[in-house]
Amino acid sequence: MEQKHSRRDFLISGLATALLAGCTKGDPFTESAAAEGVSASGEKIRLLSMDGQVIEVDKAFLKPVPDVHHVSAAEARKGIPGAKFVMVIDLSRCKNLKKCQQACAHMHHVDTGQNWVKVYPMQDAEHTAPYWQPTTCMHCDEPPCVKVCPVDATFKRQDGIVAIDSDRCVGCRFCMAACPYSSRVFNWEKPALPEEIAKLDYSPETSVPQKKGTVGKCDFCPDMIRKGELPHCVTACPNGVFFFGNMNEDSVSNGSETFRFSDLVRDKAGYRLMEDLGTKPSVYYLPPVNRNFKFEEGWETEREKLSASHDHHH
Amino acid sequence: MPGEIIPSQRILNELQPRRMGPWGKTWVAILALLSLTGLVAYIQQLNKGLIVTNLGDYVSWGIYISNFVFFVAISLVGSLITAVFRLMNVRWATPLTRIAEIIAVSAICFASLIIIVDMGRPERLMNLFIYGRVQSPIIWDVIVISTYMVISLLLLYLPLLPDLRLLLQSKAEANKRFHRLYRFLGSFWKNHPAQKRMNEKIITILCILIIPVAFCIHTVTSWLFATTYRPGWDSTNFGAYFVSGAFLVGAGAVVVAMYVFRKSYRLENYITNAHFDKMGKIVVMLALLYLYFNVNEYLVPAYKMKKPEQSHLQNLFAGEFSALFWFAIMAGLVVPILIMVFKKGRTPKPMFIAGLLVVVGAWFKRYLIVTPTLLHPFVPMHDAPARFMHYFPSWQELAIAIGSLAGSLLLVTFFSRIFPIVPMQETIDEVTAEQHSGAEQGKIIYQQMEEQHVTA
Amino acid sequence: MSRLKILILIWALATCTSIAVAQEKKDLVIGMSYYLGDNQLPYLKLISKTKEGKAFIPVPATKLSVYLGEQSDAALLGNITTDEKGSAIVPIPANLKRAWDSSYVLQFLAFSGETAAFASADASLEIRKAKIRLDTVADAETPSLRAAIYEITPTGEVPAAEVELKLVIRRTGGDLSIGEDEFYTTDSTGTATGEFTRSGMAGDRNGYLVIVAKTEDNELYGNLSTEKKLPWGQPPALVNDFSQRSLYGTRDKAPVWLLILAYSTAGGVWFTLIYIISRIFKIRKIGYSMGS
Repeated sequence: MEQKHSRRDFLISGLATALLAGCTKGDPFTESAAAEGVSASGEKIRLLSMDGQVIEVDKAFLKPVPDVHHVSAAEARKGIPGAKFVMVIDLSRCKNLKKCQQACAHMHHVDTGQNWVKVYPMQDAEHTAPYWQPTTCMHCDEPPCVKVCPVDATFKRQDGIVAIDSDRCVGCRFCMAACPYSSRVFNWEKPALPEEIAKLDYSPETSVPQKKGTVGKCDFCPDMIRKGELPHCVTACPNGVFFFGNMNEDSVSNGSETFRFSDLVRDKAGYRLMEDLGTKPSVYYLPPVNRNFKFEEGWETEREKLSASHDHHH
Repeated sequence: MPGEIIPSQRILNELQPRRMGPWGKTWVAILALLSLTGLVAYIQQLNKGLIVTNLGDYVSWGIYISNFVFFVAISLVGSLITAVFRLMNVRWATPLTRIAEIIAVSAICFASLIIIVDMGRPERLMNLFIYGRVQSPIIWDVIVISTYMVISLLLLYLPLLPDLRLLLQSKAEANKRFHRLYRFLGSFWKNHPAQKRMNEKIITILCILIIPVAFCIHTVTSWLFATTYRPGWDSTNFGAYFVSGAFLVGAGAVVVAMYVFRKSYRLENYITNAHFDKMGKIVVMLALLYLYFNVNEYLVPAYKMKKPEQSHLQNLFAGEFSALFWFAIMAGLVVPILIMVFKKGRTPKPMFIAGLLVVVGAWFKRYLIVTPTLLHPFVPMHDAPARFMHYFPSWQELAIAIGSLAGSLLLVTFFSRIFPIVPMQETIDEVTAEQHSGAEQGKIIYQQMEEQHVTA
Repeated sequence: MSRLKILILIWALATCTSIAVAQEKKDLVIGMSYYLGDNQLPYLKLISKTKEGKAFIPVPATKLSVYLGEQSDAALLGNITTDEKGSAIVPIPANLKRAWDSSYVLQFLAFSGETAAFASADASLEIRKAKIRLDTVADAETPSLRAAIYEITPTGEVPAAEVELKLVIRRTGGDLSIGEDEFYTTDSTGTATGEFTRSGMAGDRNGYLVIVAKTEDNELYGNLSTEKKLPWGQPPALVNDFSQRSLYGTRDKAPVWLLILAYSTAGGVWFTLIYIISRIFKIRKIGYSMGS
């Protein structure tokens, strides 16, 4: 299994490899760059090493996040080899700030009012404790939505992600009826997108741009993963509610904390939603015990949102 | 030609398609206007997208889908009247076969159209054939609906062949302009015994074939719902429930059509009170059957009251949809049963009312099957625009739904203007057979005709 | 109500407005951090941001000039523009070799000029040249790692004590500590030892794990890191039914039973239909052969 580095780390280790290779002829970066999916620009600049040696480096490797090579349609359908992505949502940390939702909607240009990430006020029974429950797409291992799609427009990838090809979707909305988690939203009208976004070619990796008459939903941000970064909702949450990782590496991270996935789910009694339906979700929940916040605090966001939408109408 | 029965001129005259009277013209004008309104609404939907509907991320299927289910249901009648009765050698139903078949063809055509209307990207229709995956019930529906359409068309066309010959031989001025069409469709029909034999045989094969296909079309349509987890849809009863409901609404539609055609084409000699009486008994039987499945469908989950079902059922029994629900049960099932269970109720006028109630009740029943379920998702409705939390169709949806219903009626009306709505040759054959052998079959027609003759 | 009061009110309002106008230019904050990976290529990462409410938001397309030691053309590391996330990278260009070689405490300066939206801003960062090393501990009971940090001084390498560092296993999205502790602190010999307690972690195909020792935004040394590939993991147990036939598979992966069921049913019906259509043509043929 190829270890996926963060691009920043790659930059350094790539250069290190090159330096260790010493005075090799030609461009020592090309190989490692190709392996990591970064394409060279051909434009070289001369830099100093720690020890004061002069080396030549391709300009493409000197961006904070180097451009990742174009992911072909076939690759986007197959997914990232060797990976099985998983999310852990810690309910004890959520106070419904909805930063996850805002970041997701912003980065994917989701139409106003619709959400790919939703935060539900839940109370299972009259005398049980209420809690806030964020939901993304569950990326089920036996996805009922994929079962019913008539044209393979939504599909399961080898890395566990359930993605959508908006260029193929016929807009029948059977997947929406089939999904028990209400994860899917529909573009009822032409999405209001900035021109430079609207003219992009759609990719299931980015789920951008959304198209009129097709279904959209959380995609686990495979484009971010390929860049070595975490999905937008994970990085946006100030309380570290979302953990994301590769189950095949047995590790999940919220950016500042990283846990061994199996330990975390075992020690905190993680569970999945609607296990009885047999959908086998890829999203695990940690129960809302020893909470960081009172449930009531979460209503503040709801009130703000309500008054904001109220103002908006006037 | 030896052995050829000389057509009874009177039957021929009475069953020939006729020019429309002022009532007919008004009827066509109204239907055309309604269809055009639907078309205008659809053009608007094509331009702006499904935003012109009041559908949302929760109620993502609305009256387009319930209308689709309604059309599919009504189309089932073609197989009931034509195939089942023909195979069981029920002769009295002969005058009703063509009515049933044209309703079936018209309904299945508009079912296909309305499902395209519901698509977010209708221009990608071909994707269903290019990328179609056999795991999806939608693909099963596409296969089974197109198959059913072909079989229905054939079952409409093949028994028409002898009539086309009669029409071509006729000198009636009113139909002169259709002669080219008649010739195109049936100039090869010469009433040759070999032709007749062959036709008889393939009609019998089609009658056998259409029964399982008709069951499939409605069962598969029910699976569009039953293959999901949703409360109200997640039911093993659904296939049988849908098929029985389809038989009922189809039979109800035939009763209505019988009455209207009898009235407007003065077919009292052919569609007799006895026909109404017999159809009445059948409708009662089918209504009781459907009532039985309804009891299963609602009582069993209501007895258990599982949490996801609870709010859905309460909403139907006593909540937002209760008025509609009890209307559909009472008007669509109970009242028609009460009307038609009595002999007096099985006469044309009460039957017509009962038939209308069945059809209207059935339309709302389909709406109640599709929509309320979607308002009760497993996770509560939250973090979505407020307009998604409830559903009432927009004017465009209503216009398109009404337009499609009008369109299907228009198709039936035009058909009855061009072709005989009661099979001519078959009626003549039966009357002649009656005259020659005095057999029980066909006696009704004969007696009725005699009475009419005397009074005339 | 006197006129004076009204005048004062007007004056107060006017003053407030003029202050508001003057304050319309927002403050730009430049964040600067120093990175050194595997003791090889040093670079700076800059972030331009501004405070909005309680939170900082990135400011894209900010033009920054970055210098080593002094603000002069000769000491210019580069003129750069931040990307859409407000960040940019500046390596050390070859022409600053003399300045680099002669300094042991590195002084970095960053400036941004006044723009339409933002006031001018500057930032400075002082970093001591240092290296980080990582080795396995040879005779430990449990697998252990020893990281060492050395400061580079004119007199040579000197162990750096009391430096907080991390020992982690490289993972997707975020690195996992090698044991219970998140941080380790170097002792007077400049070393810190950590026990590897994550037995059975999935590694690469051959069971290798990439172990990283790093400092994170250390006040004196910035971000140093080095890594080692060690056979302390296990080959991952990859369970993937992606290529299997299933109801949720793609069209080319439909279950065989479904294919047989669907094709035999549809095929049977359509075979009969084609037969019937052929009979219709036969009927036509009979009719036409009789002449009109």
